[in-house]
Amino acid sequence: MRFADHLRRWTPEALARLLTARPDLLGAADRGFGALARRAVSPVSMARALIEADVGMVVTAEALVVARRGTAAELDELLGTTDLTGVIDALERLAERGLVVLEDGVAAPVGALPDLFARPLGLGPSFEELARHLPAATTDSLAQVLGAEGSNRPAVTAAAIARRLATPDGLAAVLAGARPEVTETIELLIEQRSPAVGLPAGFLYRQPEPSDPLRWLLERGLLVAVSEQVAELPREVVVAAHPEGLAPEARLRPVPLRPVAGLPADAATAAGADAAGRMLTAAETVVGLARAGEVITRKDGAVGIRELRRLSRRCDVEVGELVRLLSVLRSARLIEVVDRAVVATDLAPVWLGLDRPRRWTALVRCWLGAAELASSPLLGRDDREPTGPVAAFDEADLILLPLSARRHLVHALAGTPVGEAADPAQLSEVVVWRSPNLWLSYDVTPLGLIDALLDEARQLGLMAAGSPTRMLDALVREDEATWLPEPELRLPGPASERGPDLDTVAAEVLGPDQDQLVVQTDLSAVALGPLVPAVAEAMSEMADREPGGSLPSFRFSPTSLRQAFDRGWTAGTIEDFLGRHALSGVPQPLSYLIGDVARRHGTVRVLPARSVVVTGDEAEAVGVASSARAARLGMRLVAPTVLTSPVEPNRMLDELRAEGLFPVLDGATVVVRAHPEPVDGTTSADAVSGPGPEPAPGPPPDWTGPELVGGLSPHEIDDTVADLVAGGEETARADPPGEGGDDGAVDLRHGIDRRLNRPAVVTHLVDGGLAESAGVLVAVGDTVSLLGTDGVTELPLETVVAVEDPDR
Amino acid sequence: MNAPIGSGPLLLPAADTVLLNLAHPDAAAARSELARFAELDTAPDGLHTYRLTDLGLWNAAASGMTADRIIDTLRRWSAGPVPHTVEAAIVDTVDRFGRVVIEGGAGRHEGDAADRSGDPGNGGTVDDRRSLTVVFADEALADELLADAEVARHVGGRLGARSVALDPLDRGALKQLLLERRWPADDRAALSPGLPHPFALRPDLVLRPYQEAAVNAWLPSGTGVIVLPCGAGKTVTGIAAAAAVGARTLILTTGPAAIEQWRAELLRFTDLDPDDIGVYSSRGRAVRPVTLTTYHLLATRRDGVFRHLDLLQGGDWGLVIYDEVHLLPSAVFQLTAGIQSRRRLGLTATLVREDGRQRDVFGLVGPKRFDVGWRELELQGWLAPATCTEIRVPPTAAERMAHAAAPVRQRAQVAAGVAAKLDVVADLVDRHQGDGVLIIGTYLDGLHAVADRLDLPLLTGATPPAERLARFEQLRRGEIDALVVSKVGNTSIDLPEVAVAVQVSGTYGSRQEEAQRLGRIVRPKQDDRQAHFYTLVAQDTVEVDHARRRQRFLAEQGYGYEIVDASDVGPGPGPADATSSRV
Repeated sequence: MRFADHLRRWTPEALARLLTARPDLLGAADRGFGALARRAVSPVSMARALIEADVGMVVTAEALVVARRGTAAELDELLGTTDLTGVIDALERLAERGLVVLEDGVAAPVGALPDLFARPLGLGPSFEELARHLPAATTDSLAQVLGAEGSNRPAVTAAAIARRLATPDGLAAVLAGARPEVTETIELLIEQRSPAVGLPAGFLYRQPEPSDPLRWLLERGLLVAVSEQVAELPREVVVAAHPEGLAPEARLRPVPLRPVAGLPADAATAAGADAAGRMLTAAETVVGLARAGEVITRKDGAVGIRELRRLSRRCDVEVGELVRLLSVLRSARLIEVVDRAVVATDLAPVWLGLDRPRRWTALVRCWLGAAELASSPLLGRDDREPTGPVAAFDEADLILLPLSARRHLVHALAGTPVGEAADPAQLSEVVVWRSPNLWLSYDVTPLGLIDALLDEARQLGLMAAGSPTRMLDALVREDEATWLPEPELRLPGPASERGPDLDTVAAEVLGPDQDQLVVQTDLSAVALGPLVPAVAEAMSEMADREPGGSLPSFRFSPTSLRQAFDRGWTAGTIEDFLGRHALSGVPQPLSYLIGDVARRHGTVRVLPARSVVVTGDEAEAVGVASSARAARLGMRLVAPTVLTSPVEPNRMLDELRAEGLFPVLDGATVVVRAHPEPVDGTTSADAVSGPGPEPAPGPPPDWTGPELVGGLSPHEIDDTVADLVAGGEETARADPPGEGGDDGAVDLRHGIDRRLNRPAVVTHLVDGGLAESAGVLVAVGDTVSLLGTDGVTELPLETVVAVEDPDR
Repeated sequence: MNAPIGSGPLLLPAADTVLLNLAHPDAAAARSELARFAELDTAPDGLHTYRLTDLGLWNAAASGMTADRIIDTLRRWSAGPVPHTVEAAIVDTVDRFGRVVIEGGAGRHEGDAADRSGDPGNGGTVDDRRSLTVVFADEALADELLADAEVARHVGGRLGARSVALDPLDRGALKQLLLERRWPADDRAALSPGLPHPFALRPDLVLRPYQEAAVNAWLPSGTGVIVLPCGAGKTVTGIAAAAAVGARTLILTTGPAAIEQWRAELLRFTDLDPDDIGVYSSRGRAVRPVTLTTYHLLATRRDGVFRHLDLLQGGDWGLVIYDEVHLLPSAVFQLTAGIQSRRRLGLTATLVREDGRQRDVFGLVGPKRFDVGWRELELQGWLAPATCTEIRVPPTAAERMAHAAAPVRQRAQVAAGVAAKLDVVADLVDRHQGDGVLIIGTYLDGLHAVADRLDLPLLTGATPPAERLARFEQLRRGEIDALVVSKVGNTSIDLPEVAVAVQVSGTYGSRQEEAQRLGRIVRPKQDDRQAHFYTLVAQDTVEVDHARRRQRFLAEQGYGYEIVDASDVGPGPGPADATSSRV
């Protein structure tokens, strides 16, 4: 019968259970039985169904694949579990999921099921499968040796050989008279169940001794060469060698939860409510920061450890908790990563607008069906010590779980009796039995995964110290209506008798938001419960959040109030806000502080300017400010002798010079170089190396080389120094003989290499004169600031060190 | 805890924090029980914050409270369920106290340690050389602690599975070590009686009930600390304790003024002859049956050796009193470790030490034996209600410029000297004529200016003690309206009728200084007058920042706090007369 016809005979209830257990069939079901059947027998769909299958189902299905078809009793015998009821139950669950067809007490695998088990019960291929690798002559030869009925159709011959090997008696007959080393070899191979046996190079061509165990086994079909290098043991041989059954230890029935001493229900619920409250508060803070664009990510979109630490302080949670929280918020689609920032989605304001219990239930429901597990860095991996989280949203650390993973866990956890707790290791055994393929396909051990999920449940307030809370109970009740058809996983009693629904429990346990705070004379403010998000956000803008445990606590300070003013609050709006939300009004000292800050806020102002022009007197400033250029340059008179402008200083210099003024750049850095032409004939190095005679006043310098401009960027300075080193030599060489000449070049290099060890006078040309920066400890090649310039004056050439504008 | 509001006055937002909601009708009842095992951290006007600390719980355990009783108190008054983590922590902490017992001398058996009903202080008397026994509650604990190399170094040979010998000289060090390991020892070893020197309290001295209760709480053990708020009569309580002991007594104080006050009160309230009281100070070395000295002197070292060690260790004192024990210097802790066989009494207004060495007080002086809150004494009329007013005084433009131009470290002094403060002080003295005004400051220049302007006597460190006492007496008798005092007035002057303090400058908003200065005026007045504590703050100077620290401290202490402008202050009734008191 076609599977589609088979499905047509199912009751609506049975079909509903099928679709509940295999939700991927829903789409196909809309298109009729044919489509449903095609989808149901497809390898992909069947593989998904097997992820949710329990150990009993998996083992029974494997036995069925080995046996190809059979009754429950035959399968029980094959397995050796002596648990006929267990096999029957497992077959029924498989049939309910459309993985097995049961007709007249005989079970048969459906569709691609056999293909999904490469090594059912750990066994290798059957003889018939292996025989496809053999030439017909070899198969015939084997049949002849084993006394099996031959045929001109190799497949028929292979089936006859398989039957010969598949019984204990048949196997014993084949092995009768075998040498001890042959017996030892085959026993070893049988123990290993399905080993791929490596054949020595050229083994099949070099005619080994007839006594060679491998040759002996190959010539009797107990090994089949599937290539020149590899031979395999037919599964019939292993079956025949295990008359007691292939999996006598397999547990076909659920592993019971064995709770340990835990918390009373009220205590667990109270602790859970506390955790839920903390988590919600932190979630609101994160969403608030994300709305303000204050959560940055690395280039790869992950939130780095530094940012996590900063956020964890803001949210008053540990970094590990924060990583889990971010994952939950992303799963709930409240935040997302956009352009190197974690931003709030359009859902965020909607969520923030919900009342407190509903904000929590929304997160919990999203968490239950979430795919990602963000806690992988916390897990104790088999090969290394557990480490702390290093990032959130790091793809490398992300584990994607089936959507049912958390459900398996919380449903199992909900089975913990009141007053008792689940031991994680034992809980791990329970949930792994329920869905082994789900938990065993990761690098991380099932216990590691379950520990991480339990951390999440604890953080959300669903459990405390291993004991389930009332919230978890309600969540499971709500969820089981649409999930987990297995009766043994359900909580006892009809749902209506077992307590209120999740929303009701959340409202009862979490309580409403508060919009009032106790504002105290010591400038602290404490809410007697969780705050309405809008109030909490406003408070965060005007006061510093303090670690206060589960109660929102704040402290006002001049700094916090200044920040509020920066954000647009005024003394009036702050007083008004506090007047509405302070239980006993605004304490007088706080009002005074608000007034203090308001009075001082903005008395010191910062103006955006790239150039600041300082004039010698007010008239000069007015002259500049009233010029035609002033408006074009955006100049603004900010003090009697001070103007600012948004243009660059160098351009400003040029413009002012064009205006006929003689400006200098204040604070410029310039490069010091050796004076090329001392008047007394000494080199610059000589001149600065010791106290010489008091220099006599001399004529103005006849010096056309170095001049000052300044205003160099650091790289320009570096380049300039390099150029100076190269170019200075030439300059020195160009000097007239007897006044430096070659010696000057040598001195220059010498001066660059050797720092002066005492203060020197730095002079520079400034628009026709020389300026002095006295007492500056410099070396040739140094850059020095001209902020210390005393004024423009004429100086004698005896001045030992000069500065120049290398650009001139 | 997100428990519904209204079911109880206590909130438990964190494992070590209990908030008392003053607005709750049961707040007072809850407070008196809570204070027995939780340390009051802050007491502003809305919510009082208590901490559940190891020391607080061990102090409670030392006074006989059990973990069950503590948990029961929390459950009874909490607004919601008490988190199991809190309960578990309380049980664990309280159970640690007394699992190591120090007992005196031979003749005792391990089983004695289990009998905790006995009076620990009356286990006989020993001299300092008699060997002691450390008894552990069980063998496992003994093995655990003795495996600790440091602990093992301070004990002698094993006497049994649960006991080891202890050299009396190691008694203090071992107690400190065990405290660090969170196994506080119950020191029940007998104390040395010291040389007897009986004396009696004068019949006209009637101890207040709480003073009597404090002495009775301390006496059985002969060690520990009595915590009384400023103005509650710590000195009298200490004298009563000493009289009850009736032995040679060494009293360690904070300075010469305190010595004078103790001496005066000893003479005033006991039948001690003046010759029985000695002062061991830089001016003399008189060791008498009751000897007064200072921490400073005791801690003086020369070439690394404590020069006055003999005073503490010799003398066969039957009692050592530590006045203001929260100020006990480190060096004296070191010395105190060596006199663990003496009776020890610590007196303080707060166990909180700025250096965080509360554990040493617990380990070496002893657990808190008695504590009574400000509020209770105020309600009973033993302390005067006080209001704190900060008066903002505007500096002139020139003073502002001087302040701005001064080096950062000198700005406080510049601000302290703002001239307009003199006018305000004059107004306040005028307003409070007959109230007794103490004008306190840190900078002598400013104090001289006040004294000159108002023609008031000025007391500084240079003023001879006799003159100081004479001036205090004048103020007490109302012969002068006000007195200007420097930092010497911070502590240990007893002026019960003084109702007003005007602080013209302070030491960077020091909390300790603030408490001490306030303590000068909260003695109860015969006519139930309210005490006023004014602080003059120069507007827009560093004093505003310092004042903010003080404001927080005072508000956390529970005082009403108000800020007014100098222009609002004038002679006669003004805003400062508004009724306000500690909450």
